[in-house]
Amino acid sequence: MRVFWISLVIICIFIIFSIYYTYILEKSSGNIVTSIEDIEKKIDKNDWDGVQKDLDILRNKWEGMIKPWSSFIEHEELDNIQVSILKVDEYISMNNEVLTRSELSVLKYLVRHIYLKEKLELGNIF
Amino acid sequence: MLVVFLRSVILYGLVLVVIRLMGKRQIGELQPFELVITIMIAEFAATPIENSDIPLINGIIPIMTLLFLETLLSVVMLKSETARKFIDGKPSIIMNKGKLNYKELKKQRININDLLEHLRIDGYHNLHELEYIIIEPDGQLSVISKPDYNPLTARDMNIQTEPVGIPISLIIDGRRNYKNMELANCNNKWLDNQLKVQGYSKDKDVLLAYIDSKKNLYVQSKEERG
Repeated sequence: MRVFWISLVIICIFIIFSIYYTYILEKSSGNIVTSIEDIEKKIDKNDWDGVQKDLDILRNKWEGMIKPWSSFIEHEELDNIQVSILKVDEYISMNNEVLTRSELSVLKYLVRHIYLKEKLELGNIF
Repeated sequence: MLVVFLRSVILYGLVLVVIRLMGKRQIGELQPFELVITIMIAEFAATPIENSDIPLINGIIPIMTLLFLETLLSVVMLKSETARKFIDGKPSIIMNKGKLNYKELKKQRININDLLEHLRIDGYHNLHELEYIIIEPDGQLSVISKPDYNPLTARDMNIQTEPVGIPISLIIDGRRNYKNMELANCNNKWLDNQLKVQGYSKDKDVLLAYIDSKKNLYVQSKEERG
């Protein structure tokens, strides 16, 4: 019986942690998506200096998140986001609006996908 | 490569601990639900070892979940016979009072050749000597012979027997087990004397030393002795 109670406690800890983890994931991915949208707004205004600054902010946020996320999320997903950020950086340095916008859409999708994949939904269970 | 090595070590340790916590049931004859869990644990442990991109937690959580489910099912089956029948199944009697039950054989999909083969392996060569044959939920065959064909026991011969005890190991691989010595009521002086009589001056020369219920010491040496 002792093993049963120990395993029950461990499972309860997992469940509580995963609820908290999902909440943190939603918050951090929302944070990144907001930064992406800020960049898009600056592109609308043709403010490429502002775009570069916002990209630096986005990159700093991403660097801060990648370490804790890497313990819980598949590395392939994180690598895809990293590659996308590098592409955005290059397109912004060339002031290429079309490519920057398209890559920002991809980046937004990749970031949202991480959270949506972890969300407790029937679609994810089945 | 070091990453794969470390992940393997961690998951191996975890699986070892989990199997140990699941108890002797898991290592011995497996019931159907235990077999499922053992197979699945192997699968869950292997996936993060093979693919370093998958977080280790994706192997740890399923393994711990299986530990919880196994202990939960064990507790439920302990308390409820209905649950036991539902989860484990029940034994099938394929021979009853010396007569084979053809319907049950068909239901279990066992042909006569297979049955005879298993009986021969278990040492039963003649079907007419058997009273009952039961297939247990774990697939093992239990056989009860007719009384006329049972081996003789001391009781049948009216022979008085002495009470039996289990052998107790006192030295294993050169090291004394003081707990067992206390259990067997032996002290160091007695053990030293016994070893000396048998030609052993040092514990480290002894692979195994155990006593039987009559307090006779039997010793196996680490080296070949003439």
